[in-house]
Amino acid sequence: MKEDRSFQKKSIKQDEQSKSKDFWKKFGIISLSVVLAIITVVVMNLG
Amino acid sequence: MVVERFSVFWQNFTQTPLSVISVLLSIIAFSVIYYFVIRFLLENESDFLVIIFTVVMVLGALCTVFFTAVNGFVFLFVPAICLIVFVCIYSVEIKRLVWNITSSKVVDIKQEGNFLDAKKVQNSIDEIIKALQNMSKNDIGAIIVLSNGNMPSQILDSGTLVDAEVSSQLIESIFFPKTPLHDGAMILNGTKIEAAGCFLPLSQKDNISKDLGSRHRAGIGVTEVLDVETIIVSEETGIISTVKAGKITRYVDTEGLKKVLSKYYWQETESSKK
Repeated sequence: MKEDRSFQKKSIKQDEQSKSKDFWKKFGIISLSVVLAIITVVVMNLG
Repeated sequence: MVVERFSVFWQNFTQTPLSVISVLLSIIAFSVIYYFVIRFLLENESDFLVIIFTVVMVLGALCTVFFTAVNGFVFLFVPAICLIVFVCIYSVEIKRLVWNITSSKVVDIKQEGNFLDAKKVQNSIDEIIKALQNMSKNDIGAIIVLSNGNMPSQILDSGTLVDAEVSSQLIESIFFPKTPLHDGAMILNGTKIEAAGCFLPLSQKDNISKDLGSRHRAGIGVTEVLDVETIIVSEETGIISTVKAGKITRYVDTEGLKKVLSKYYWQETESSKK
């Protein structure tokens, strides 16, 4: 029983870690995309 | 001069609400494009290309800003050229992506009710294994694609629609030498033979053994561009091979075939239940 619980805790922790990793990865991609888009539009409109 | 350019941009930007909206819309549109490009590159384990892309973009922007003689629109060539390079490098992956989007359930001739009967499945597995063993013994070449109803219509149209229940006699008849359908691939969808005599895209990999002919190359090629598995019987040696995601496993015995087919049908029934 104890082993089961520790295993459950471990898997829940791993799940949370992978979720937060996914969130930061997505956040990073979106931020980079927005920065590159701002650069493109500003430079494009410099004339 | 550089400051002047920016002040002109700012003046134009704040001139009318319409110009503000158009600039914001352009930023959103470019963000979406870049988001999908970067995500695609990361999914294909090309982190270094994302870094190169970012560096090239920043350098291109700096060059355009500081070389005042250059018009801002020239900067658009930088992402455009990068995109063309990515399309050239990842042509196979892009093809796979497009096919997986557009071909989902193009031709879906699954069983009515979408539930596969366990008895029927077991019978299909036994019949397929029987046919494969017979063909292997008699050195008859065969290629069977285990699809999930995700075959593109281009591939299905290249052959003949069969839409018949799986049976060892039918499979052996299809691949019997000198019959019209024996040279192409047979597409399996659940417990039904969807089509036969289909042409598959050939793999362009250089590291494929020279002992393997065009049948094996086609079997590998289709798994590179689609989420399917293939079973191949060599015409020269009678060796049975299975291919998944471009990786070939040779000398597959009855147990191996049972595993592959059980996995295929198990997934099939799970997806059907959903």
